[in-house]
Amino acid sequence: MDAKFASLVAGALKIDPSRLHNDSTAQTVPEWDSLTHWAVIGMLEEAYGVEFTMDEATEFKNLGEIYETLMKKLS
Amino acid sequence: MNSINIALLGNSTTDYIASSLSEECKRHGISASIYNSPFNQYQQEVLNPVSGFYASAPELALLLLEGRLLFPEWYDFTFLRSDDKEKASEIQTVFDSIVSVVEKIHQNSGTKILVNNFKIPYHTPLGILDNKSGMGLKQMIAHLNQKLEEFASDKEYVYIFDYNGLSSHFGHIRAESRKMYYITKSLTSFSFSKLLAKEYMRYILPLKSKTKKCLVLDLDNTLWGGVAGEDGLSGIKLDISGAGRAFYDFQQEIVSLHSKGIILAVNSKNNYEDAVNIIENHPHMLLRKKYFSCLKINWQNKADNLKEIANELNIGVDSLVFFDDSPVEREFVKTALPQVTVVEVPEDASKYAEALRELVEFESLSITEEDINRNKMYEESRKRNEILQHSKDLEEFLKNLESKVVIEYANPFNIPRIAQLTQKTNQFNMTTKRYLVEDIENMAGSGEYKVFSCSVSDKFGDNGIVGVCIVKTEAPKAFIDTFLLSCRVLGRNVEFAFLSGIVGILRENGFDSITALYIRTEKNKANQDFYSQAGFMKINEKDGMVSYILNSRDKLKEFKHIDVSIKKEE
Repeated sequence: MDAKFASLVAGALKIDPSRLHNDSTAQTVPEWDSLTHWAVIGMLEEAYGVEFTMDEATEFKNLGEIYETLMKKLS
Repeated sequence: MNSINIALLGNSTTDYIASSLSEECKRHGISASIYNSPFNQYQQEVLNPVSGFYASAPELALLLLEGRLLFPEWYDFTFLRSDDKEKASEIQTVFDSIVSVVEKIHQNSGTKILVNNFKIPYHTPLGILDNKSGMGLKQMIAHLNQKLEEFASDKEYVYIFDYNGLSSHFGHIRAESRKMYYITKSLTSFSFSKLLAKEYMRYILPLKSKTKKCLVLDLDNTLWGGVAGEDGLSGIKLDISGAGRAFYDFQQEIVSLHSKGIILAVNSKNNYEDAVNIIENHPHMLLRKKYFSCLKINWQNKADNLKEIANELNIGVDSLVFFDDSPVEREFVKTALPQVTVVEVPEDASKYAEALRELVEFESLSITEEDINRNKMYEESRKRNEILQHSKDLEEFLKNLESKVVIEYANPFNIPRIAQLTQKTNQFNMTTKRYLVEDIENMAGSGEYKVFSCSVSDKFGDNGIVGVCIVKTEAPKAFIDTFLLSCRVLGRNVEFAFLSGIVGILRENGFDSITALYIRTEKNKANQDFYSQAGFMKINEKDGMVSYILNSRDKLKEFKHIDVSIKKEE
């Protein structure tokens, strides 16, 4: 993932971007809970002008997969 | 830092609103403790006097009920085809249940209650026939909303928030996120939650006395297009049609703020004559000189001008809102004077008026006579200052003014203003205790307190009610809990006249020993010696709190040329 993406997600989670990696999940990042997850999705949708489907927003392996879905939408 | 307790009661997930609200409060220097009632348990919470809701001691309770979840049957085709009488009784049932929640909260606590009205959806089961043959869904919800407004219109403790209006303004489709709703049971999208929190500040800021008093405006490319010194009277853009209309509409928006009591001032880098020529002579200029309480048109830096404006108007720098098209000037002011609210002015002048409407800092929870007349009073005060400059000394000035002070017991007519003054007065406020209308009513109604207002007039005009004194009595002792005066009447010995009137009343009623307290704040330091100057004796000083006493034989400072009278209790 790139720096812009990481800093947006980190901003929504209110943590330092250095703590985020492709294999990050809600288990490895305690601040990432059901509440902040939608802040992440909302922030990304706003910043990139895209919309995730319900499945994309709820069924993903890790942060890297969210990033890939986003990049596919942008290309 | 200012703090507030807010409680949310809802029938959907309100966590996003809660977290946005807490961030928004922080942006305005308020630290918010937010109690989020358990999901869809607002009725239990409200009925149980020892619930978490009441334990959170809310100052503001938000009742956020979503119509689709509260009356889902209304969204049913068959129901909507039923008899209008049945539908009317449905509306009444829902209305009654909301009113009973509100009244229960009011019985059990002193909180203000803000109730969202209900969204009127664009799509309804009856489609284009929704408004044919009998009441459709839209009409039902509109009725319910109207009933709520009528219910709240004459009550101090409840306000209706136009949730429907804000959702339409923002776009119903964007206001909710369906996917988020299915997973989280929250009906407000991420971006709408943020907007909602921002709009709730319109209620929170006046509740916490954090509203602004004065709008300070730049001139070139702000009140008109172009530059006064280069384009001149005939070259600037300001018209009732075409692109110049944007500036005219912007000025109109400012005029309406002025009528509601917001003070206006100018802060512009210009030659004074060039600018005033346009202000006074341009055919489409709405904001003539008389609208402005202070004009700083010079080549001085804008932060210094802002400080002088605050000084001359006798208000804090933190009461100013600054509107300037230049990002450079805005940055400069933000850095030099972080207390000033600097508006993010859009690049496009056609959006200026909207930017002003979006400001949440100019609301008040009630409009008093004084708000409406405030600007007239500032004009009178300019004239008074001219007399002062021409008087040979203070004594002659006071003699010329012919001031009259009228002290009156609290009554239904002056109570709203009394409460407002305790909320807004900072500089000449001995204890800075903030009271709501309900508090004042309770004190005035109890035998334990005496609550007074003070009106000041002179030959230039009537300032209206500008002072408050609250005395706690316990015969033969009396304690001055609150003593304050609006700063615009200071410098005329009115404070001593007011205090002597109060002491007179108390002594007449047999209170021989009068104690008073001064509590130091950032803003009232300049008046910390008032009680000593008035003739009280200091008895104790600790942690910025100073106690004073006036015994039965102590004399008060004398003052001349002010007529003090007392309106008898009815």
